[in-house]
Amino acid sequence: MAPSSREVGAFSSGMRIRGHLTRNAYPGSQFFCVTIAFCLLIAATACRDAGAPTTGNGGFPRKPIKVIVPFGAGGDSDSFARILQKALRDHELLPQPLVILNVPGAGGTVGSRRVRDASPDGYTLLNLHEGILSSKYAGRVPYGPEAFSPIAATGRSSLVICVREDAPYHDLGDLMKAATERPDSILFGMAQGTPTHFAGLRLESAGGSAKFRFVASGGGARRFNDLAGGHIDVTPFSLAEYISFKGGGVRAVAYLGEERHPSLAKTPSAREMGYEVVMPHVQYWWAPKSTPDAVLQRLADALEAAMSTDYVRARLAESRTEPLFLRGAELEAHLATREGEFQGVALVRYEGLPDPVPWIVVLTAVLALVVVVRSIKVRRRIPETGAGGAWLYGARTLAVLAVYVFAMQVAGTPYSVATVVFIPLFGIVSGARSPLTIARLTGVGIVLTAVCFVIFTKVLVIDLP
Amino acid sequence: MVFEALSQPGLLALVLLGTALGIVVGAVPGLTGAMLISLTLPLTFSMDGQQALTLLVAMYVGSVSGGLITATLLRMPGTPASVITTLDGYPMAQSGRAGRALALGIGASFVGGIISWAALALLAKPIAEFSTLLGPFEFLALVLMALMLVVGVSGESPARGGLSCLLGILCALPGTAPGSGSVRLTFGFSAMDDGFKLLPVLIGLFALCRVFSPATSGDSLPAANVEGSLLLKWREWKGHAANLLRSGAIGTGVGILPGIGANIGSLIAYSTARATSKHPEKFGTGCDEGIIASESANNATVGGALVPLVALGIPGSVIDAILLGAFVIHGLQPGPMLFENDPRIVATIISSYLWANVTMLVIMLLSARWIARLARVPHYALVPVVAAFCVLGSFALANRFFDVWVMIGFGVVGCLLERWRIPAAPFVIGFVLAPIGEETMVTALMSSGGSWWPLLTRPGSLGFVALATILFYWSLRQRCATVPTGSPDST
Repeated sequence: MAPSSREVGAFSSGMRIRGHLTRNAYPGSQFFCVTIAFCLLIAATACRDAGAPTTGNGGFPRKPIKVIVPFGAGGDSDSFARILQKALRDHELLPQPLVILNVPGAGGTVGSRRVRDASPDGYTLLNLHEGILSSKYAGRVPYGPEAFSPIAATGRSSLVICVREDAPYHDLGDLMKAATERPDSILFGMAQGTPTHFAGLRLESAGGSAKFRFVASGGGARRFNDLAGGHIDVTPFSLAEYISFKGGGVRAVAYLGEERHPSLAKTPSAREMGYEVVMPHVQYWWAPKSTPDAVLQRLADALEAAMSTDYVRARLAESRTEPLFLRGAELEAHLATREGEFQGVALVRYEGLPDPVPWIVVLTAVLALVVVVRSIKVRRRIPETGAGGAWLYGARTLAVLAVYVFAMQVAGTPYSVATVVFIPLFGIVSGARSPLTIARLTGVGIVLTAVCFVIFTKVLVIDLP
Repeated sequence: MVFEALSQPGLLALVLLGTALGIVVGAVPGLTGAMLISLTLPLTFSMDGQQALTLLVAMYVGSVSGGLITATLLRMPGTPASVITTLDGYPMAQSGRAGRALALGIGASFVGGIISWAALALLAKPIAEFSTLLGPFEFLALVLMALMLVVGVSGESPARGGLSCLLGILCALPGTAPGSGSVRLTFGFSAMDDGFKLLPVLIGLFALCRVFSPATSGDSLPAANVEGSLLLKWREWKGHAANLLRSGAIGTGVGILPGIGANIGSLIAYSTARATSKHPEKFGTGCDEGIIASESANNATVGGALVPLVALGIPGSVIDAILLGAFVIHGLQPGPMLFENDPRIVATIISSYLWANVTMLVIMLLSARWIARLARVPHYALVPVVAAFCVLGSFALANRFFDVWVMIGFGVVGCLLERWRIPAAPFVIGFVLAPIGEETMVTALMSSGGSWWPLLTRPGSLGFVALATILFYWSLRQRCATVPTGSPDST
């Protein structure tokens, strides 16, 4: 593993692409030898991938395992998954590597849907925390944990309720008293439909007649900004977030764990204060429903071993995460409890918001009408150009492009083959005529494909079709 | 703050590598800086934190700068940050002054970078603390201001610009509604739960739209030669000093605000330059001031966005959020205490930002003549490669084909818009601003209990609203003044 040298390779290949853009092609036989070599390489890679077995029992795993992280690179979940990935690789706990795939979007549901619909062979897994419950009970998707086979729960931290440093509330009791005496005046920052939202709602119901005014501020950094600037009064942070924002003018009033956290010894838990609210944040590993038991066991074994390595322990200690590990019956019981907690909360939606959709539609229609009326008036001034040719050209190029994408998505043509064919074909459609030009374009296509294929699949581990 | 990036010989090499890679992905339509940095992040595992952040910051700087090349020469902005640069850069290159257009863009990028570096190095802490005072209503006012400024970039008629912007907003509506958290306008397709992503929309509208259009005569020929020296005379730069400083400051300011990106920075700087210019009618036809305003502002947003990151641990942009991940992976604790706990890391970030800008200037100036030949590549050779990259980039965004089809769809939309002479730049601005605007509106109204009044009673938001009104009025008046004399047909 020497990323810097690999990147030098990536860099020089990037420059080579540009060299081709500008000079079109290298003439000479040497070039064709190189292209043929590339061709063979691609074909070999394609064959090997195609020939790999798709299911396994005793011999699982026989090919790399894709782990879908339904959030962007660099986030909490992504970093956590990558730490375990490194531990699995360095300690050779699985014969095949884990490949992390970021599929962000819509609060993690784009990625979770992908895994739910994947084939249950253990080669496509999901790493997702309580988001799987909150997105179900916020009504974002119709499915929850029941649509998956749980493999393991790894690592636990809980939310911390924070106020501004100079806030008049000394502890959670003060805060809840204020929310009871002056309902709807304390601004509670949260991200809509996430555990932070549920935490606030559960505090309300635990506090009897307490009532916060919920403000959808967004992610942790955004809420810190708003809390420090006085735009909200109270908000939950993850423990890691709180540790990093401490000293920036925020103060913890309660920890939403079973008991106090060792690194927050002075902050009482909400349970101690008499509010039965526990909001743990656990990273779960899921496989598609009806994945064979043996496969689940094999994966859970590997994860359990990874969790007990020094590397993972050290990393978890840095982010103040408890090295919890659950599997089997324990895990089922834990999930059932957690689901019960979410189930009991009625997600109230704020009703006083204007719906922008009709406004925008009407405004667009009015302005479109204005533009159309005006352009009819001035039509005679504009000379009509050869529009027919342009339409035909557009339709032809569109068709070729659509076939290219369709071939990869539906027909399952490997990326390399499809692209090598596509580039000269598209060149012909867009006006390349002489055989020499077409040959050169083919050459460009082969080099470009090879370079992209190597960079994306080998260096950057993007899963090309 | 200045020399830390030179303290190890390896660091300077990383700056060089990162900047060059950034320029390449910035220039290629379909590949973006965010993609490069998020894909590089796992590769930095085996480096130490100082090296990793140096590399990533250099990539960030390079990627924002590289976009100006394709924006200027081909009207295919490689990144959203360079959309505004197409308005003047491309007409200038088309009129045979490609070299001058590149030189202005490169120089302005450098100056913008240096201005925001100064702000980052000297004032990070106070600026960041001040910026937390801006709440949801100020953000809402700022977004409204940016929407009003669209009139400044709307080509031949404000009505068409407005229509384009509204269409952009309309296309941003499907997906998860920020207010209720429920999905809307997805027509039952679960792939649309997250709406359309910016990258496929952008490269569809700008790059793929060119792919679907036949080569026009004179499309590539006049831009072929880079005439004269790329180093413009000191006297010329001095004439633009006010514009450079103002645009750099605007870019830095916009960059500091979390979630408001480089494209908005360049839009506001461009509109301001147009409103205060002596010849506003020249904007959009290939004038120096337009390129300078856009490019100095978009580079300045990078430094601006680093301010809240190093001072408070708040990411100012998408890329900053990935950098925050790099902190965590390398065991560094981002946040208000970073200055005290890891002064070396802060100094390294700031210093590598400076040297990345210097490297960017050198690389781009040395290669500009070579790059300018890009415009001479025949259409039939260029478009297959561009199309292949567009497909690859859209797919790699979230590993799904849905985004590729979205990109193809917006390619068709782009062609139709061009056919109906509706400018595409306001479309992208509307598309980018709509979700930010709606989110801040939801936050603002939830915190005020449904009242709009704080928009006018809070001094900050009132200030933005007033500024927006003044700029809007100016732009309209200038347009009315110029319409009878000629038709500034730009896009």
